[in-house]
Amino acid sequence: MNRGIAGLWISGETTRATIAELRVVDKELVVSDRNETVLTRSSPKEIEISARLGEIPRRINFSNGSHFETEENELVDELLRSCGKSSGFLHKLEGKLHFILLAILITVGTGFGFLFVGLPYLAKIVAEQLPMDLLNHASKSTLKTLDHLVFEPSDLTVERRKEISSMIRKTLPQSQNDSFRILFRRGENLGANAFALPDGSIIFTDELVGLLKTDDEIFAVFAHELGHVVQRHSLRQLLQSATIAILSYLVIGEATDGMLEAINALPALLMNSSYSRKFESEADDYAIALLQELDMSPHHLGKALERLSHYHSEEEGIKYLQSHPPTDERILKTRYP
Amino acid sequence: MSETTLATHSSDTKNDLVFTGKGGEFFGIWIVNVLLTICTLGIYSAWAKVRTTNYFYGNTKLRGSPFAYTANPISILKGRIIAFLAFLAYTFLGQSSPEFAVFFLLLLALLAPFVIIRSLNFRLQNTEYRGVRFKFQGKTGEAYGIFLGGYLLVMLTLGILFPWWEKRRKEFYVSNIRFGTSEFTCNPEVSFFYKTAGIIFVVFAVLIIGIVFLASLGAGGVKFMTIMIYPIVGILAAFWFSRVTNHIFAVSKLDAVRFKSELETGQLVGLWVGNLILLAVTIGLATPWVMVRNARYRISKTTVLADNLDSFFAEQKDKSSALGEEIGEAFDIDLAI
Repeated sequence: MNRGIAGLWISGETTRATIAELRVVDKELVVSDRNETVLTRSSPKEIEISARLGEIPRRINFSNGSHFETEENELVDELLRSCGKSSGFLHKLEGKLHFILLAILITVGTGFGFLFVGLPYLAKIVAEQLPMDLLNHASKSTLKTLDHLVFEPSDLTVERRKEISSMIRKTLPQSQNDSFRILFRRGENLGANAFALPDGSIIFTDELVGLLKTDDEIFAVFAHELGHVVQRHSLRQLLQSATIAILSYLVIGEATDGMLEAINALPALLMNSSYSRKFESEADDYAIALLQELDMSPHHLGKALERLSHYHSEEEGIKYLQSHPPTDERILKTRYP
Repeated sequence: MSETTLATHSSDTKNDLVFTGKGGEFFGIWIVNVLLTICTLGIYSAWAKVRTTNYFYGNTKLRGSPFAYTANPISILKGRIIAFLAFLAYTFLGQSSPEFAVFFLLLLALLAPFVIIRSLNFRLQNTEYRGVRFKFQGKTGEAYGIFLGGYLLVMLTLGILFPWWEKRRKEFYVSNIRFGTSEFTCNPEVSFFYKTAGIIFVVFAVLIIGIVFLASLGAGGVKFMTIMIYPIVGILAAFWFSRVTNHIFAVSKLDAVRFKSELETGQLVGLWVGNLILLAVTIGLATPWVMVRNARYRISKTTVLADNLDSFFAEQKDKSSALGEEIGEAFDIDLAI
């Protein structure tokens, strides 16, 4: 190589930069200033050349602690090739348009695939491996908090409560009888509703018991809640949202500067309601299957949902932020399971 | 580039910091980073972090020379593994016992000053300009006083001391930076912080009263108020951020070198709004552009006032402390979360 590479030589002792040129002379790398005074020289084996990264200046580090920096990336690559080294595999990938397009496709594809299929699948497998009582303590404190903030003690008579509990226990196959306990509360602001906690506590509000006309409807709602418990939805939701929180930090965390940091939580928010809707329809499916297994009609679930939807006179919100699928869809499924 | 070695400048020559990164070029680097991070289940993210930081440092030039980032990705990986395990522990144990969650957060608060010192040190020790390294020499004990002691004082005084605390923290960060053998000094004025906070307080109070008044006139008021709160908080945050940054640069010195930052609230708001739109429209794929936009704006508004940048000296390596350095290196992990 006849032409030298222009750049700056820095001694490593001070910030003084000397305008210099790098040449190959007799198989040695020689850095000299404008007066042809040699500043440093070294055999190519003892130097270290920084990997190419975009168009940022390259650094050639000498073993005596000095370095040479230059913007002439092409000439440095040529120098590397003449020494039999590659100019950097990553840089080649980063600069190729068709590779970048492919990378976008793969990234977006695996991204969506992971969010909608892979992560729910993995979370299900992991949740099944984890101990059953993992969230029992959490359930107790959740119930305590709900009792404190929302619920009031139930006004139903003890007889009515016993009647419902034993109806459910009699209807269910014997093997399922240990996996839950039934509680009654006055729902207050929450109105007619039923809840399932991960430890198997299933809570009916007085308002719900009043709203549903038949035992079969109560049983259908119970079956839906039991679906949440048996399929470990709380734990799966927890696993999924924790994973998304880590991923959003890793991928978009660097772009969110100052105030924008709040948007790091956005992917988790959007995905959580999507997952929640998925869990609701899984619980519906579970209930429908259970009703059919017990020779009961899935219509009872549809009827109960219909009453609930009338009661809450459903305000349609933004679809992607809804925690439940639209009631019409759910009712339809109970008719044509 | 010829002025780099000429020391004959009129007093306080303006040296603009120049940012030469390009969104399109960085997109290629970013997408390859994301792809490899996905393929390696997150492990590559440490290498991606080094490559990204290097891209931004290498494209930030002062008098023709770039900054350089020399971190070892393994150190970053260690830090990320620790953070990941801590997050998992918090998610699961915190769910199963609320007492543990509180204990964990307290522990985190107790560790915070130590972590802040370690990661500032890590970042600065791996930052180089013309072969001379930066360093952070803040003492852990002092950090505890400022971060924990200061925090308690702010809480006890119901926030009245918040501007003072901000001033104290910024002062601590900047005045403990060394560049080679030279030390930064930083003398922010506490009255400036109170004035800025006062303006924000008054504007916020007036706007809130105005909105509440409007809300009392019509039924749409509450919705209007919740919509309005985001832009108001955003604009006030940009106001605080730009004023404080400009002030800190103006009162900081490195030997005879002075600094100037000319961020403007309006421009910052424009930048943030643009970023939000870009990220939303591209479902996050515009992240690299957003990062380049942020860096370009900040750096283009920063000036270094100095006649001479050539006479900073690298710190002599003390041979007797080699062991201490090695022990330090064993703990050399990037805990910046």
